[in-house]
Amino acid sequence: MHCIAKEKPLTHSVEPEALDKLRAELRRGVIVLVVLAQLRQEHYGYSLRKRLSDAGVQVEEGTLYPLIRRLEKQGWLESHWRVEANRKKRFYQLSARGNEALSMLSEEWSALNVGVEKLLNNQIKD
Amino acid sequence: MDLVNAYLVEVGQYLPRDQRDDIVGELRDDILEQVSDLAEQAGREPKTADERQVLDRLGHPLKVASGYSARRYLIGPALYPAYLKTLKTTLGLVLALVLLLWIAMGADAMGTYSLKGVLNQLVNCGFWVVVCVTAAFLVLEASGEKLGWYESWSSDQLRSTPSGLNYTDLVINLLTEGGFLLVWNSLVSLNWGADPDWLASLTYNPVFDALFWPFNIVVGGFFLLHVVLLVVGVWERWSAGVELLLSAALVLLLASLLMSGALIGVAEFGDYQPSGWVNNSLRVTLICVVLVTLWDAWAAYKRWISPGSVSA
Repeated sequence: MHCIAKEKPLTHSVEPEALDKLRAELRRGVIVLVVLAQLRQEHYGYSLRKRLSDAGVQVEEGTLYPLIRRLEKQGWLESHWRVEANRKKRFYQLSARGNEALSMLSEEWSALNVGVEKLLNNQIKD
Repeated sequence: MDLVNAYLVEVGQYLPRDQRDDIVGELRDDILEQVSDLAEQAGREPKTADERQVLDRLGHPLKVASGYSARRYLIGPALYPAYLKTLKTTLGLVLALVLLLWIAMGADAMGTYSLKGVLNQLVNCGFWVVVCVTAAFLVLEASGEKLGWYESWSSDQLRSTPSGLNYTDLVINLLTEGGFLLVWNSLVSLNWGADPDWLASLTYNPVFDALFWPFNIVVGGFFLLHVVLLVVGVWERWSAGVELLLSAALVLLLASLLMSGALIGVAEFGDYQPSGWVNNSLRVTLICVVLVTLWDAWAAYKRWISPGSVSA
């Protein structure tokens, strides 16, 4: 998994390789969520990647395209080829099943986010 | 654009065949969009340097293709395309080497095998190649090695103006040429269930002796070219040119056979007479081979004059 969200310089003694691995693990699930969220609107691969990148979530082609193909195979996305600006492009959009999955995952994310924020800020009383 | 095509042909080699066109089409659009963006930012038309920049950032074609691999339990997606390529290449090279060794040593040293015997030997040899290559990759997988050599890839390594390879055609060609060389050099005997006495009574036109080495050289040349193609994985201008020359030479050889009168005689009533049906069958077969060779020559000519088409 190769994705970088606002790279920060590594100035600590943490091994960069180990940290990269943890970062990748941390973002793996999140990418699915943001991709599904963006595909509520129709996008082709490059426009989706740009959209994510503009929001600070950079995902390499080698990660994004296999991911959207897997999501399509699961029935969460629908796709079709169309010629636009003299080039053949494959457009993706959320299917009804994907929409349902997105709602559930969003709820899960919100709950998780609240919990993680509390834990990170030590707001849980013993 | 040639550079992008060359890159996509290489990526396509490592992709599942049923998804290849889709994936390559999508990647092409993405790469061209990135190239256009780079040129737009610089306020000019796209240049080869922009293509190089995008491709260098994408990295080795194997790396891109590995993301699309299905889940494998023994060898993971990071290594699977490299495993498949190594397996195909090693199998092709080892089997070609075995065949050429047989031919070089000749029927006198090796004896004459039945077709079944030859297949047994080749399958046995292929089995050990698969075992050794798989074992090597299992060790790599277990060690966590990610084949870092493809991290140092750059677009300078792309071959110019290649076009995609049809592996089915290539394998059929290799089997046909290898089989022909074995029979032609008397390493395999084919009797097709015919009466051995009848076979022994056949006589052959002296033109066969005269063309023994020319056929060995031309068909051997085809065989070696196709082994090289199997290893390299793409057609290039030089290989299309060699295919064209060899096809022309083969058509000439076949034509000289066809124009040599009766090719096979059969002993009948104590004398050797040209056999009508045997010769006619042989002629029809030779004409079919000429037509197939001309068809291949035409395809080679098209690759030679307009290289760079992507049929991945």
